[in-house]
This record gives sequence, C-alpha cells and structure tokens, in this order.
Amino acid sequence: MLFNSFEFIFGFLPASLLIFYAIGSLDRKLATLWLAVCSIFFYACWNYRMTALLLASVAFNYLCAFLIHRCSENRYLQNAILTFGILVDLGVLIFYKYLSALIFFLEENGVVTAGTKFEILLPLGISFFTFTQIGFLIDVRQRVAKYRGPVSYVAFVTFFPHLIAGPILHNREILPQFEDPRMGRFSAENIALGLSYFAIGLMKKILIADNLAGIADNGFAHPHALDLFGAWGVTLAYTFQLYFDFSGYSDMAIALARMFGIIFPANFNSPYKATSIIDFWQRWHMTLTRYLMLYVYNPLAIRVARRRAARYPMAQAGPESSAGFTQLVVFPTMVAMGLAGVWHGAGLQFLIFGVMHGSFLCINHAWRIFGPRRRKKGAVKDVGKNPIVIGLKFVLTFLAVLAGWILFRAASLSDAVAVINAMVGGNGLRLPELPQSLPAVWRASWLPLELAALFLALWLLPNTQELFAKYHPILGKVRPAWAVVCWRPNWAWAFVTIVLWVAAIMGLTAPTRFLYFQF
Amino acid sequence: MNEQDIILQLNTIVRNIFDDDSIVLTADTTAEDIDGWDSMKHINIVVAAEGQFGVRFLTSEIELLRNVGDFVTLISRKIK
Repeated sequence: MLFNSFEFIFGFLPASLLIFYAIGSLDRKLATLWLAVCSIFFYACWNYRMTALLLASVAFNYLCAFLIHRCSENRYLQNAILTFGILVDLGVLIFYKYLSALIFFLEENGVVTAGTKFEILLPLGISFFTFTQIGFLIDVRQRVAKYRGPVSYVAFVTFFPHLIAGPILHNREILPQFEDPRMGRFSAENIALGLSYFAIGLMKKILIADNLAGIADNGFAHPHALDLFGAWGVTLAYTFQLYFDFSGYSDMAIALARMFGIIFPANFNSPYKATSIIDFWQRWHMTLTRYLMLYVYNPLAIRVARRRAARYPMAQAGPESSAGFTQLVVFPTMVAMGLAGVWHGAGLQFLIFGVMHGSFLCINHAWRIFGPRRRKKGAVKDVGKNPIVIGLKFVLTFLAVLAGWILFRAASLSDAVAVINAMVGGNGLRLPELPQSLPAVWRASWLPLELAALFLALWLLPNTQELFAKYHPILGKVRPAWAVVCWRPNWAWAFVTIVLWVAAIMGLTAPTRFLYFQF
Repeated sequence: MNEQDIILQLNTIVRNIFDDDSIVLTADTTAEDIDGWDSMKHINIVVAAEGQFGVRFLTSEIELLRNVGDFVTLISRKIK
C-alpha cells in the first residue's frame, strides 16, 4: 500500500485517523497502541510473511535494550549485549540486502558454483528500521535514551509514515512526543496543515517525478546510444526525478505524522541550492547525514582527536597538518561516506558513489583549512558574498552532485562511464544508433523547457517547510518564505490544496513505487 | 570552579583553536555565531576541553549541546 494509492488515501488513512482520535479522546496509551496496530497492518499489506521479520527485529532489539538497561552496574556486560545486538541487526541486514549480490558476484567470477538460483526478497524498509534500532541501543547504552515501555517503542519503530523510507528518526525527538499528554487529542490545525503538506508531496511525486521517470529510465537503459544533449537531458531528468520523488515522499511522511499530531525532522532543505558539497549533505537526506555523523563520524573522529591531543600540544593536534588532516578528516569522512554509499545497495557503483562523495567532502574541508583564508582577524569577509563566487561555487557543487547521481542510477559502472563519456561529447552531437523507444520520447517531449522550468523553480522558490514555517512544520528552526505565500489555514490555501489534490488524484492512474523503497 | 570560570577557560581554548583573539563566548553563543565552527572544529574544542577540565564526554552528550551555556552546564556537572 503506497502513500500515492487510492486504498491508502481513501481507505487506510481516514479510517486509521478517525479511530485514532476516537480512542485518543479516551486514553493516550490506547491511541499509541492503535498507531502500532495500524502500522503493522500497513506493513502486512505489502507482505505478511515479512511482517514476522519486522516484529522479530523489534522484539529482539527491545529485549537487548531492556537487558542493557537492567545491567547498568556492569559496563562490560552492557557492552557485550550492545555488540551482540548490533551484530545480529547487521547480520540480518547483510543477509537480506547483500548476500544474493555477493553470491552472484562470486559465481560470476567462478569462485563458487551454487547451481540453484539464489534469490532473496528484500524486506521493505529493512535498512531504515535496522538503523533506527541500532541508534536506540547505542543511546540506551550511553544513557541518553530512557528505557521505555514496549508500546511506545513499537509505535516509534513501526510508525507507518517513516517505516518504509524514513526520515530516519531519532528516539530522543519522537518518543517524548508519543508520551506527551496531548497525544491523541484532536487538533483541526494539524489536519489542515497535514492535508496541504501532503498535497504538495503528492504533487511532487505524481505530477513531476513520475513524469520524468520515463525519460530517465529510457536513457539509462541505453547509455551507449546517448548523444551530448541526450546524456545531459537524461542526467538532469534523473537528478530532478530523484529529488522530487524522495522529497515528495518525505513531505508526505511529515504530513501524515502531523495529522496524528507527531512532528518529524526535515529530510530536505533545498539541496540543489547548495554552494558546497558540505552544504549539500546538510540539505540532502538530512536524517541520514545526521545519523552517520552521530554514530559513525563523530565517534571515530573523537577517538582520533583524543589520541592526538594526548600526543601533541593543542596548537599541533588539530587538522592543520597533513597527518592531522588525514587522521581527523579523511579517515572518518571516508568511512562514513563509504558506508553511506553501501547503505544504498550492494552494487560496486554504490561504493564508488560513497567514496567519490567522501573525496569531494575531503577536498571541500581541505579548501577550508588550507585554501586562501577568507577572513583575516578583524577584516570583514566579503569574497563569500560576491555573486560571481557564489555562482561558481553553485555550478561546481551541482556538477559534482550530477556525477554522483550518474553512478547512483546507472545499472553498472560501465554504463555510468558511458553516460559521462556522452556528456563530455564522446558520442558527438547526434545519436549514433537509435533504439526504437528513445528518440520518440526525446523529440516529442517538452523536456528542455520542462527541465529549465524545474531548475528555476528549485532555485528560486521556497521549499515546503519554508512555506509552512509559521506553523512549526518540522523539528528545529525554519526560515519562513515570503509572507504572501506562507501557508495559513484560510480560504486561499484551502483552494490551492483542493486544486493540488484534484490534479494529483487525476494523475494517479497507476501508483508507482518511490525510488527510495529499494534501499 | 563556577560557571564563569568555565566560560573563561573555554574562551581561551576556542581562541587558541580558531587563532582569533577577538572571540568572546557567552552562554548564548552557538556554533553558528562563530565563522568556521563546523563539526570538525567542534570535536577539537570538545577534546581540548576534556584535557583542560580532566573529564570525558560521551559522543551522545556532545550532540545534545545547543550552545556554550549547555556545554558549561555539562562540564560543571562532570567535574563535581
């Protein structure tokens, strides 16, 4: 059952909301229990056998958290349980996500001959619920997460708006909301905001992302047939498709949670407006970046920093020397981004995607440390405000991001190289060989105009949370958009919402999956 | 050691790390107020503070800090 399907929009959602508020007026805890029940039903609609796996994972991690909490006097025992828990979680993840790819790889290279075809169905959302729960275990061990009752925990992990594709929630920001006395109390504002917010997400998915999908799919299916313009068109189409698909999904998730009175963290903040690659990762899939910072980058960096601080005086312990830079920046960044790459899938191109972005980030950090000093003591920094400099930084960042997406989307490394080759003119301006489907799509469409319009829209318009800034749409601060367009529960916005809903529903012929469901 | 002393010592650390004597920390200062205070610098500051005050922080405690005031509260709780 997808967010963009009739069953969900007209069946599951209204029914679960109505019963939630009916129960919520009686008892808060029962309302939380209802959320857990709905969410498990939501998952079971996809595959009831895999629901057993989800429940087993939740039960196992809850048990680990309980034991870690109970053994608070014995640090070693706590660490042993934590390690065991993480290993089991990762083991399950690797089994479902990487094993079939690994066996295929070994067979291809003649290392083993399995004989029978080995295929494992990837459980939806497994990367997401595994990560969420590992984070919880670590936090219970570090005593920043309070041990909770089972109902809140199950509702937190399985809550259907985030279960399949995030945002990756942090227990500290969500569990207290489930236990707030206001939980389950009806608020017209939450519903109104949720409906408008959802409409924007639905519009992004159905009217924009799904329209671009055909062009991207076609182009990446025949990478050797692309000419210069074709390769750029296809790459840009995919760049926009991925953003509108995933940010549309995230908008819908935020909207759905809000209808139940729960506020989610932001997952996107206009990533294509970024003017550096560091900036980009603070705006793209923000909850993944945050997760990796929290549980991978920082623990590694802090260990290295402590070792250096013990060995050198403070002035030399920092990253300003080549050894310091390698140990403090390159090492944790490459590990974290390598993991970020592999997290997306088993293909070699995902690893290279991660390593490539890791390298970009290191170059970016190196520039900040070793490059020309932007500000001498007391002097005002004005280079950073020069529009030409900003423009150059923007273009460079965008090109780096495009290169990453080609690896991300291409079926294999050689396909990715073929697309890049075409983009730099390796296939010339004309199509060398024409597969039947490609030129028709390409020539008949308004693609160049559509891409230009999307580009301008992304660059000039406020993002979803900025539109809703006055009503606390996400956790944390949001800079509001221009007052004229800011969302308010008034007739004008009611009209816009209805128009968006009608347009999206009319476009909803056959619901398509979200790109991030495969991760 | 009271909170004012802690802020003063932190100020010295931060000035050293940024090589900038014009920095003046207050309880309300956040990372955004100081140019170049990124996640990496943050770790340097935290580790330098560990040495200075003879304490050890958990990574999760560092993540919870919103401003210098939070950091001072954390340090004073640890050295007690």
